[in-house]
Amino acid sequence: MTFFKIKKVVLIRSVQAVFAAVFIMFVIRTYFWIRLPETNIQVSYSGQEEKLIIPPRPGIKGIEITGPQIQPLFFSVDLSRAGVHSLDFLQLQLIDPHADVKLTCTIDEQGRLLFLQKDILMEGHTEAGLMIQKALKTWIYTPYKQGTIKFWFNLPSKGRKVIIDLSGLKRKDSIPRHIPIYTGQIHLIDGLENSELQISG
Amino acid sequence: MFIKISDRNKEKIELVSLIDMIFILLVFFLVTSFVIKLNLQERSLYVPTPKNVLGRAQLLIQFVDENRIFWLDEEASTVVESIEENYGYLNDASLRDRILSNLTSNNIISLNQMDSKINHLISAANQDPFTNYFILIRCPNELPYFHVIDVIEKLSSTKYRNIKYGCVGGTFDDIRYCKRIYDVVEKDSKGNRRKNLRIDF
Repeated sequence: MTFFKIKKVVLIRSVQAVFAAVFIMFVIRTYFWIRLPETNIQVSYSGQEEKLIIPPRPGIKGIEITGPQIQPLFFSVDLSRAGVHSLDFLQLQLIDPHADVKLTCTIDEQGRLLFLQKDILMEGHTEAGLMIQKALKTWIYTPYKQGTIKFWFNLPSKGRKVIIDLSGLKRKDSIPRHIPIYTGQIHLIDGLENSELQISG
Repeated sequence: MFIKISDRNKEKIELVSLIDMIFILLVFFLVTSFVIKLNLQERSLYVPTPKNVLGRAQLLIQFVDENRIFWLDEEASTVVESIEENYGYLNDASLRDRILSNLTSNNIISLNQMDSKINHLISAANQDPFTNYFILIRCPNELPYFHVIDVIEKLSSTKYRNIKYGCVGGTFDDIRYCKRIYDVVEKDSKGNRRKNLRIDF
């Protein structure tokens, strides 16, 4: 039993020693912290991770002043112009349901649609060709693009009956690059369904 | 034969009390160890700090001195655009000097002129509660701050509180001797393209 008695005492003393060591450790640690200048105090790992680098305030490195909104331009048939006539597609189909007419036109600086007789291919479909020419001659576009525009009226087709190719058009140099030009209504053909029209380029 | 150990010789230590006391001490030191680091811990607290980006605003009010203000609004980008177009052949430094000489001669105003412009802005803000304005006020550190307070008081008098402002220290020389001043096309938060004026210090 003496053995057990001694063992118990040792155990108690050991526990006391451990707690005393912890106590002394904290006392020493606190003592050194108090003596250290503020900047040299060791930051715990969690503290170091959370430490933020405060960035410069806005307006120190540079300024950006919001400017006016840029209004986009729309390249389309200019309906505000006088004398612009539409093409009646249903009537065209009545006149010549097998019409196959190709036009290669030029849009000039003022937006006018120009073409010569050599620019029209309408073999065997003269009446339809003349009707198309009569309408297209009156079309004036908003003057944001210029170049070549191609029309192909292919009435016998079961799918696309009118194909308009805009790949030959280029935006005018005088319009600043940052102003977007969107394609608006580029034809005035009444009675033409969307599924019958293809615009490429 | 049983040996009876007398109670007198028994070493009795109340472990429960000891552990209680040690834990109290442990808690005390843990708490004090955090308290001692409070100054550093404060830095790791969440404080919404400004982002390291350009100071964006619709309007810049830069105090040149006690009586003069450099006022930049959205019209400035149009002025810069025209200079960039007309003098695009100049090198960056010369172009910057030309832009700044133009802006300096036209955009430095008196306190009275600034008051009338601010009143105009306030009346516009009062008419449209859905339009928000942000104004950047820059003031040299050596200038009495009451000038800025005067401006802030006026800006705060809007009916719908839709004029926000930010203040930052800085001199007119920061702008006068900036690295670059130029127009840049950007999309705003609503997706509208805008021509903004950017000044890099």
